[in-house]
Parts: sequence; C-alpha cells; structure tokens
Amino acid sequence: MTRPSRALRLVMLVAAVAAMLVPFAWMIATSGMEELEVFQDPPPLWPAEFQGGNYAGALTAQPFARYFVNAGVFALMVVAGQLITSATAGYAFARLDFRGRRGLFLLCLSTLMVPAVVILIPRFLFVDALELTDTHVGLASTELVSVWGIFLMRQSFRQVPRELEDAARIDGAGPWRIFWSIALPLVRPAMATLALFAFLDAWKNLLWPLIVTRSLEMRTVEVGIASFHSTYHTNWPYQMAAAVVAVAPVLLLFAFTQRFLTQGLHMTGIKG
Amino acid sequence: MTIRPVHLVALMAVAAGLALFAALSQAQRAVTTAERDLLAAEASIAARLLRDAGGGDRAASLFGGRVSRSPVRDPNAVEVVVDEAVPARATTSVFDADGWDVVGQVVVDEDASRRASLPVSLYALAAVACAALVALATWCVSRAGVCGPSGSLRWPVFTWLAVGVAVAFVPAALAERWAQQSLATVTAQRLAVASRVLAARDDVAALARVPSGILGLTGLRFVPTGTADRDQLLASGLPVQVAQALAGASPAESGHVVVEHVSYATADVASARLILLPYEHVRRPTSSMVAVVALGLLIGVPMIVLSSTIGDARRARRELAAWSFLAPGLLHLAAFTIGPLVFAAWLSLHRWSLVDPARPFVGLENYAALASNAGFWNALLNTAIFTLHVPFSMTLALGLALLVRHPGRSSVVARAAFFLPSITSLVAVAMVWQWMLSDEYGLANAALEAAGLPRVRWLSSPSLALVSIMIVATWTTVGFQTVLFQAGLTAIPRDLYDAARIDGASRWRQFRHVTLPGLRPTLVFVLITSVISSFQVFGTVYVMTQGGPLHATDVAVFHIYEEAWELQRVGSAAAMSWTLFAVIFAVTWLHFRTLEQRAEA
Repeated sequence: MTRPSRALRLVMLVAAVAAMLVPFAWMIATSGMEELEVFQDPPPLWPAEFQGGNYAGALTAQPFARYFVNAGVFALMVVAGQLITSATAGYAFARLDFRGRRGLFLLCLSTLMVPAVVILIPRFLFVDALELTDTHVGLASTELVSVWGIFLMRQSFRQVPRELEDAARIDGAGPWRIFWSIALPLVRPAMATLALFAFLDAWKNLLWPLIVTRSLEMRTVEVGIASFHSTYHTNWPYQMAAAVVAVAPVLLLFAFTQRFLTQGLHMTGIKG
Repeated sequence: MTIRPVHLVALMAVAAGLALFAALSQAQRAVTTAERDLLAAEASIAARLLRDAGGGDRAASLFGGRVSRSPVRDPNAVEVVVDEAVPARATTSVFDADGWDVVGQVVVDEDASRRASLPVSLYALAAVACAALVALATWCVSRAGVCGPSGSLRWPVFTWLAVGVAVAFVPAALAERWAQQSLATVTAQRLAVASRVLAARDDVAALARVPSGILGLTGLRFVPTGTADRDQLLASGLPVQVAQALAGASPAESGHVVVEHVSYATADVASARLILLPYEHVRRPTSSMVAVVALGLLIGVPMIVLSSTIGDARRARRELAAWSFLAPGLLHLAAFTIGPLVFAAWLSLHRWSLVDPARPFVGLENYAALASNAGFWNALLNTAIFTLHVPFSMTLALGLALLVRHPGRSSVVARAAFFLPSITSLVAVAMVWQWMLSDEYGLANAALEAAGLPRVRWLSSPSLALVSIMIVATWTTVGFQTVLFQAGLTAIPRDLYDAARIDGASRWRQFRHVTLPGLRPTLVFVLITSVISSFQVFGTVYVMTQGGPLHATDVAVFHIYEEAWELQRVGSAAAMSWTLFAVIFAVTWLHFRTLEQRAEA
C-alpha cells in the first residue's frame, strides 16, 4: 500500500472508531458530573470533579444487585438450554440420516421470519397459564431454543471429519456415544460462540422480561434501567451512572471473549 | 455406556406420562379458571346494573358482603372491590354502553369452600398407568419389532397406539364430565344472582324484559315443579316470574329453570347492558382432546416413522436415534414458536382482554377494523421508513469491512470498537443517545453550535425524530454487519485478486468484479436478516421516544405492544401482529425472488 493511502486509511479508521466510542465516553463523563453541571452551555466535556457518589446514589435507588442476579440467572439458564438443544438438533441435521431432514431443517429456519411480537402474547398466556410469570423459569422457558444456534452447530458439525466418526462406529459406538465423545469435543469453539451470543441476547432482551416480570425483585438489568430511566428522567448523571453499570459487565465479558464472537460469525458458513 | 433405542423410548414413556399429567391438570385448571371467571361475571353483572342505580351498599348485600364500594375515579363507573384483606382472585372489566371501552374494574375473591377439585390419586394413577403401558409396549417393540424378524412389528404398533389413546382418553373424559358439571352449577348460581340484582332494584319493568334478552341462552329450560330430575341443575335462586318468563311458561305455572348449557348473550336492561358471559373454556380444545393429541404425537409420530421401516431394523434404529437428538429442540419449537403462532391467529379472531372473561368470537372484525385504523397504518409506514436505514448502514459496514480487511494491530482494535455498540445493552445505549440528542444541553447540538450551525430538534420535532432513531439504529447495527462482511471477505480466494491484478484491473474493477460477486451470499444474508430485524425495532423507541412526538416514531412492534398491554385489546393486537408477519413474509419472499432471478440472469 502506498503511503498516502495508508495515511488516509488510518484517518478514516480513527474517525470511525471515534464515532463508535464517543457515546461511551460521554456516558462515563456525564456519569461523573454534578446534577446541574450537565446543563451548562457549552456542556463540559469532562466533569470538574468526578462525582463517584452518583454511582452509589444510582445503585441504591433501586435494587440493582437483584437485577444483576436475575439477569445472570436468566442468561445462564438460556445458555444451558440453547447449548443442549442446539448441539443435539444441530448434530442430527448435520450427521444423522432420517426422513424429512431437509423439510424439518427448512421449517426450523423459516421460524426465523416470525416476528417476536406475534408469538409474544400467546407465549405470555402460556407461561401465565402455567403460573410461571414473575419467575426465573418462566422468564427463561421461552428462550431455550435458538434456531440460529441450531444452524451454527449444524455448520460446525459438518466440518468434523467423517473418518473419525466412522472409526468410532466400527468400534461399536452408538450415535449418542459418537456425539458425546467424538463430535462434541471438536466443536468446542462453536459452543463457546453460541454460549456467548446466547448470554448476550438474553442479557439484552427487553421486551420479554418487561412483560413477564411484574415485581421489582424479578426485573432484569435491562428492564431495571429502563424503569430507572423513566423515574429519573431529568437526572442525567444518575441515569448515565446506571447505564455505565449496566454496560460494564458486558464490556468486560467482551474484552475477554471477542475472539470467540468474531470467530463464530466467521464460522456460521454464510459463505453459502 | 451405550445408549440404545430401548433407553430412548423409555424416556418417551416418561414424557408420555408427564403429558397426560399435564392434560389432566389443564382440565382442573379450566374448571378453576371458569369458576373464577363466572364469579367475576356475577360481579360484572352487578356492577353493570348498579351503575345507574348507585347502590354500592346493595351490591355488598347481594354478594354476601364480599363486595364493597371503592372510591370511584370515573363518575360513570361503578367500581367494586373486595375487602383488601381477602386475596383477590378474579377481575373483570366494566364496559361503557357500547360494550367496548373499559370504564371500571371489578375484583372478586374466590370462595374457597365452593372450589371443587379432582382427586389427586386420579392423576397419579393415570400417569403411572400410562407410563407403564407405554414402557411395556416399548419393550415389546424393541424386542419383537426392531430387533426381531421383519413384519412382526405391525401388531405391537397398533396395540400400542390403541392402548395409549384409550389410557389417555378415559381419565381425561372423566375429568371433562366433571368439569362440565361444575361449570353448569356455577351458571345456575350466576343466573340467580342476576335476577336477585334486578329484584333488589325493584325494577319490575326491567325484570319483565330480562328473559327476552337472555332467552338467547338456548340452554335454559323451564320445568314445572316436581318434575325435575335429581341430577338436573336448577337455577334455584330465580324468582318465579323470571323463571316463567325465561321458559315462556304461563304465569300460573310454577317451576324451575333447568340449566343445560349456556352461551354468550347480551340484553339491554333499563339503560344498562346485561352481558351473560360465555364458557369459552368449554369451547376450547377440551382437555381430553389435548391429552389425546399430546399422547398421539408422542407415541404416534415415532411409530409412524418406525412403521415405515418395518423389516429394516437398522434403519428403524437410525430413525429412532435421530429423533432422540431432535426431540428437545423440536418439542420446544412446537410448544413455544409454532403453537403460539397458530394461537395468535386464533386470538386475532376474538375480542380478547387479559382481564375480562368475555372473549367472544368476532370473526374477521379485528382485521376489518385495522383497515380504517389510521394509527396502525402510520406505525407500518414508520416501520417501512425506518427500514430505509438498512441499505445505508450496509454500505457503511462494507466500507468499514474493507478498511479493516488487512491483518494488523489497527484492524484488530478497530474491529473490536465497531463491535461494541451491537453487544452492549440496548437500553443503556438508547439512554445515552437520548441525552446526546437532547434539544438544549445535548452534545450533538453543542457540536453543531461550535461549528457555527443552527441547533436541531433531534427528538422533539415530528419530522426528525424518526431520522434520529434511524441514526441510532445504524450506529448499533453497523458493527455487527462489518464483522459479517469481514468474514465474507476472508472467504474470497486471494488468487482471484492476483489474477485480476495481473490482468491490470483497477482497484474499482477489482471491487466490482471480484469483491462484490464473492460477497454476494453475505450481502443477501445481511440484507434479509437486517430488514427482518429492523421491522421488529422496539427497545430504542421504547426508551427514547415512546412513539412520540405526535406518533412520529410509533413503529409497528411498539404499537402492538401498546395495543395489547396498555389498551388490553389482545385480539386486535394479535391481528396487527399477524399482519406484520404477513408483511415480513412478503418482503422476505420478494427479496429471495428478485435476488434469485438476478442470480440466474
């Protein structure tokens, strides 16, 4: 690459990265300001003195610890459910021979088109009829299968060399045995990707927890900060402190696992 | 340990037992909710009739002190609530004269002494028997059929199916009958209450008109005194005049009204509307049907698959193994995605509220109402406009993907930064954007001012608010698209570029003839998934604008959310969501078609 084009590329990169990061920076800056400091014109870019007290104030205004526990329990249940269902169904679609394989797979994929809002009401009525509203189980029950996860696992199982499985079969192993001790260990990276996405999706889910949870004690972080937002809607430092607290764990998770996330997307085989 | 077909079908046996157990509990639940709803209906009738009589105290006396008057918020509404100390178990709405808008709420407690329940032992017995039979049949099949000589599978299969259905049917049918009976009992009581209300008002004229109104209830029959069977249900509390009028009997005759079955009916009585609420529960797929269908699926589907392999034991084993892998995912999909989809269609044909037990079938009324519902069309239009951000963000993402294409530290850092917005909490992101775009003190306006440009009313002007939401959506999705594009780029073989370069192709021509065609599948994938998800935008709007100002950002999902949860019109919301589904389906299908055609051309 020539020197000017490299410089141009760098400038564009920096601009793009800045555009992505400015809202985060502003979130942190505002979270440290005094309540009225934010209303200066022009707004100060950094607080004169960082008010750590905003965090204590925001965090004690609502039971945020409880929200974190709820979101964590919810997300972990979803991760476990999706890992099991995606791995088994994905393996069946990738490797096992049965009637209607193609049709069933297409049926699964076509459910991706169903807008969440269509099935939202019946799902709520269903969970309500089982008297599971406002419980962790009710919250997680609807999210235990991800068609995208089935697809991802199918793609990765297809890359497992058939010879390995054939060898095991000759040794007398049944399909579950082959699945458990041969195929599954080889798709660990895909499982990691799926687990991460499942976790993030559950953590970010707003609409379903908003509807299924009623009590303050059962809210997830997303619902919690959304209600915090409407309660304290003029106190921006408080709101931003809550936002930082909500974003931080996800960012930490991301920092350590970014490799899996992007690798997994490379793996979904959107090459066709 | 090796897992063999026997183990899998044993698991299925347990599942079948559980299914039957669930079906029975549903029968139980149907009755409990029916009773609760009927109780609420009583109160509803009372409230309707007392609305213009102003007799809160009288209502209390009629309901045996279970109902007391609460402060009335709406001057037209009669609001009756039970004593706070008693746990409220049922609610129903009080409607205005049109029977459409909710003007009040009635809450009634459940009278525990009146609650009937199925004996627990019946459940347990049925579940155990069912599981045992299925297990036995499984053993037979795995013995004689799958492992045995060809053709010997046939009769165990039929036995299995027949016995399974019979086992499911008997207890479920018993539960069903019991359910019908207790429902009829409550109806009798309810009729009595309705007429007591009228009598308490000393409204003889209304009393005379009631029967003609509720004579639509074809399940009522008048029997002269002394001729009623012992197991007939009598609306015993009915005053004689009402009973006679109900049955069209002559005034000289004395007797009772027998309740056979009751359907939905309304009657206008002295400026109030009397609505007799239906047993939607009885018309629902009944518990025995649920049990049979569930068991039929659990036993039948694998059996059909297996019976197609009669004589081919290896194939049978293979099919069984595959289905054991598929079962968890597919059962969940059936229960939580496909089932709800069908149920939503059914809901959309009813007037359905979460609090009112009256859920009449209205046919296509909800869809017809959509045609003239300007709010919904506005929401659809807004959604369509919002979707226009997709090509824009895709172009941006493609550019960014090309920027970070080459390996190196700067690319890695940039990629991580791009990805951040799409993984973080949507609510937090929407909050900070709302703050940055605020009129007076927002960062965006401060920046504009510093550059000597006029301030912009990002979120408070109806013409710009949707654009602002689109900007935020672009910011949150562009990183994810970049990563997908980048994955697509790495899949394009390097040789193609080398060949192009040797042929002297310019950068632009390389992009046009190598990159774009190579990226086609990714582009199609990203386009379709982005359009589908942009049709479903909710969180950003919910946090930033709540659909405002002046409905400028009222998008489809937000509109449906409000219709269902704020306005309590679930049937209408279901009709809207099915319409949205149809739109998404059509758009996706069109995409596929045009893209396919272009690929062929």
